[in-house]
Amino acid sequence: MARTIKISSSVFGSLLMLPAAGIVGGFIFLPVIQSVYYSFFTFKLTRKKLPLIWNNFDNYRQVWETGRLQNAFSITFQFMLMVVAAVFILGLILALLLNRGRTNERLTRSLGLLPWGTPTVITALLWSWMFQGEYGFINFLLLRLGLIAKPISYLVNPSTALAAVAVAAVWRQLPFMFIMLLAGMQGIPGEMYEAAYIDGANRLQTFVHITLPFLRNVIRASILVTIITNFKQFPLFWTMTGGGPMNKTETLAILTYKNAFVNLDFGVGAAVAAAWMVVLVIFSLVYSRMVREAEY
Amino acid sequence: MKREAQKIAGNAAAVIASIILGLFLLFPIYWLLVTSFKVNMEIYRFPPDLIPRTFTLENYREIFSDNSVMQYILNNFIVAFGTTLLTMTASSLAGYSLSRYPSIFGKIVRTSLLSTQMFPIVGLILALYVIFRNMNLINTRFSLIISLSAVTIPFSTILIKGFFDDITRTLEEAAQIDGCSRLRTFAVIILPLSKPGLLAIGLYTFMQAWDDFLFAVTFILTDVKRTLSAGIAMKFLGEVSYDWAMVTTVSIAGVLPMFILIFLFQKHMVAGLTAGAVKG
Amino acid sequence: MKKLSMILLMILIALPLSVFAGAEKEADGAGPVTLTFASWSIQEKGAQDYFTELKNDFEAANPGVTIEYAGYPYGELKKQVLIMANAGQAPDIIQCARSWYPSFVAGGYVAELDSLLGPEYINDVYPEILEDMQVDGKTYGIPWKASPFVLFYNKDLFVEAGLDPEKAPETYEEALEYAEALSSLKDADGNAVYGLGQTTGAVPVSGGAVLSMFFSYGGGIVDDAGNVDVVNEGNRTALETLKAMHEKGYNPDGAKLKDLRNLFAIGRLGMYFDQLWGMTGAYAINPDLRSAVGVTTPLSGNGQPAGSTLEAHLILVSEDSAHKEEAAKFITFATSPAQMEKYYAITPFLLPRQSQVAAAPDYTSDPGIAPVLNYPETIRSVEKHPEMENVFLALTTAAQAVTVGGMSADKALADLEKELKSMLN
Repeated sequence: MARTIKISSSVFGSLLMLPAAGIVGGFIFLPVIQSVYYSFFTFKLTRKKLPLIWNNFDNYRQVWETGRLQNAFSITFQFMLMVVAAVFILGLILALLLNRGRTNERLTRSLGLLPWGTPTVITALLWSWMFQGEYGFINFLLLRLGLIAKPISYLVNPSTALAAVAVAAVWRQLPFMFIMLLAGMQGIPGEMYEAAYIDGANRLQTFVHITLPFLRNVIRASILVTIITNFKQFPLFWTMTGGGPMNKTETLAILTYKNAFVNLDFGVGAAVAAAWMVVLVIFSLVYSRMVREAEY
Repeated sequence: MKREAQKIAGNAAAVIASIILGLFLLFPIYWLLVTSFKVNMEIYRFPPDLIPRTFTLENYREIFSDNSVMQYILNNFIVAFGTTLLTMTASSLAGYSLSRYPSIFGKIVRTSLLSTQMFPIVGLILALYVIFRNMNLINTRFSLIISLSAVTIPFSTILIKGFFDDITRTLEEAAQIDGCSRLRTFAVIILPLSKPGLLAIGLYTFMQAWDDFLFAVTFILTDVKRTLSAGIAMKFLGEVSYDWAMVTTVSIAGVLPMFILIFLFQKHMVAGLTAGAVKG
Repeated sequence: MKKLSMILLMILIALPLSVFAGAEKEADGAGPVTLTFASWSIQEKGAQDYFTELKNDFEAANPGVTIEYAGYPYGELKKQVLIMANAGQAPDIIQCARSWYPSFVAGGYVAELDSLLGPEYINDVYPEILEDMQVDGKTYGIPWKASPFVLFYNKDLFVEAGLDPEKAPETYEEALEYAEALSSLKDADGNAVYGLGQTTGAVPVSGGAVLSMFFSYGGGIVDDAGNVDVVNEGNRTALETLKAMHEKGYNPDGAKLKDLRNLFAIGRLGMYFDQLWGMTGAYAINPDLRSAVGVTTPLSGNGQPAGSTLEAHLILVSEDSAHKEEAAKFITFATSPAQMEKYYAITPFLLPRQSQVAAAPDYTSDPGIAPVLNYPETIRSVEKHPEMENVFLALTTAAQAVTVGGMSADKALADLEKELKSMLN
């Protein structure tokens, strides 16, 4: 065994960090810092670059005063809450159902995972088409079931557009949540349940006292992933509604995009993105603190 | 008696719930499939036909008339596998470092990397383009692999760290006494023990990379290197119309390989996640 | 350790600031020239062969010059050009939709064409079109394909509704009467037929359509002095008409042009406003439609002269291009009558230059074109402001507000004026 040069543990540890830190640092951290930096300056996407001038939070003030930022925050949060709640509840139900049955497990599970393999862009198209006002399938279904009296154009109706995009998001993300929860459930030893049944516990009781506590780590992780995914959701909105109707689906991602590439005001776009990052970081910190405290 | 009735009602509710959720998840896929077999005028019929009136393979013939769609799928696989490899390598090293050599530096790196994940991609795409241009990487699949890895590494690192935390240190101590180098210990002893964890982050990364649209559309400019989502947008979501017959057909063609993979690997997926999930 | 991380952090912060610097394009002298052409059309169905041939023909006629197509989806191209130009890698030639043109011009990205193309070329362009393309008397773009928002109508449905298929409406008032008759029809499956389609979807091109409607009612968004003027009689009548079209079920809600084309193709829409080449989308779905389609010029509303924005695909030369001369040559080549004739065989559009029209006898006699040949007189100029695309989006928001939003025209106009003032200053 040839001896290599002896290096200290801390240096070795740092060396191990290097590839990850290099890639993420160079290709995410650096651009982010740069964008945040530009958010404090008047920075237009014009060919002739003007000298950067500190503009006293003008970019932030501008989006705030038009009310677009608040609108976007509110819509993003509504969307996120809607999707996370639906994905979690439906995912839990699905996992419970599939955790019981043992018939044709492989096929049913694979089928349940199909939407996950569908790229978001295709998901967006598929659902815009399902929700189409004149020949969409949803209208056909709801008309048949007598739930609506006349066809609705879901994606252009201000009161349904956000929910319609949320349905598409739930469809795509449900499999991830369900497979995570299912995986968690299968890790619970069967004897736990047997013991509980012998003690006369009913299904609800075993669910509350055994299943949920065992799943809490899974739930915490997968909900956090779902939150961030939906906070950042861009292609679904861009393809399905473009932020319309009447800015009712104008999320933070859409607002960033519009400011940077529609208005060529990169500074304002960066300001929206930066404000959003701050909120999301605080949000996720509070979230993990909350979940942790609930546990112990 | 009451218990019996309750049980029946419970089972009935379970069956109904399964059917509704199953339809919700699967009907849209069925709808894609059926539509891809319809002729154009029938696609827009209302009420819609649940089974094609005139069954046609013309749409498939058309999208496979040149091999661009096959190329998109192939590229998507190349990028997804590349990203998965890079991410697994970088994040298992970093995760191991965080687990065994904790330091303030590591903590700072970890927090700042995780926080910047919250920044919207559209806000940094311009800067990324400039970086790739300076590195002469525009219009390469490698640019996609790097940028996607940058997105997936932080979560993967945290996830895999959990696995390493669970492996007892005595193994490494023993190896060290035997004169095994640290890197070798990691590669030969620790890594094989964390297979489920590697599988979990591999899966997560692969799915993320498979779904990419924004990077591909921005960094790739020729058809031979284009990936699936960008290719579909380029070719079938034109200015003038959405050609639904083509879009549904190419979607089916594009998701089919993924479906086969899911079918083959779902057992491992559950196994990997089972081990991973409890770690959080 | 702490010191090290501080230093690292500072490097990380300092690095990106230099990222935008050093973005100069290497200038090269003689030798082979490669022109990058950023385009969305090159890979669209049906057009691929034409563009390959165009490239080959041009390269054969200009030895030493190579055309390199850079393809992006339609919806991504503007963003892409902005990114590339800011990274110092601007494509030499840019295909541009009408709604982005103001951004590119006001952003300084595109080269002045007057001297590049020469006075003969420029003066050949219809004056109304030239005016709309110019800023301070300088020309930055010439339409490749041009069109106003024409009115398409389905002659078969006209017959079914007891209307004269050879008599197209000339005014909004007439069109609304026709729409009433058309919307009483049902298709083969018993679905209602829409009478008169006007796009109001949340995309910039729909904003152009709404603005055209404003023009046709004598309205507009700026007064003669160039100040924002939205609350006026013409705009109010236009929005009230839109509202009525929504309430009477003549117009599908919030439809994009694509939706209207589909509906028109399957015989569920009697008349609608579109760019001339939009019909290609409808024909792709229903090739049998061809014989039934009638076309006519923009309508006049309330006795005002009909008006429309200029809709166009432009080919622009990048200000940063090192080969502007060659790029201009490509434009001249691509827009020569011979090339235009080939392109025209794939998709209908109107020609922006008088000599092109004179050189194409087949074109002037085409019943799909002839009724709208006098289109330049309807073209109205719009602002060349960097936020113009956003203005178009704001116009669609106003249109949605009075229709699906149930807002009054007055309120919608007041909101719009406030918004446009902040955009256009």
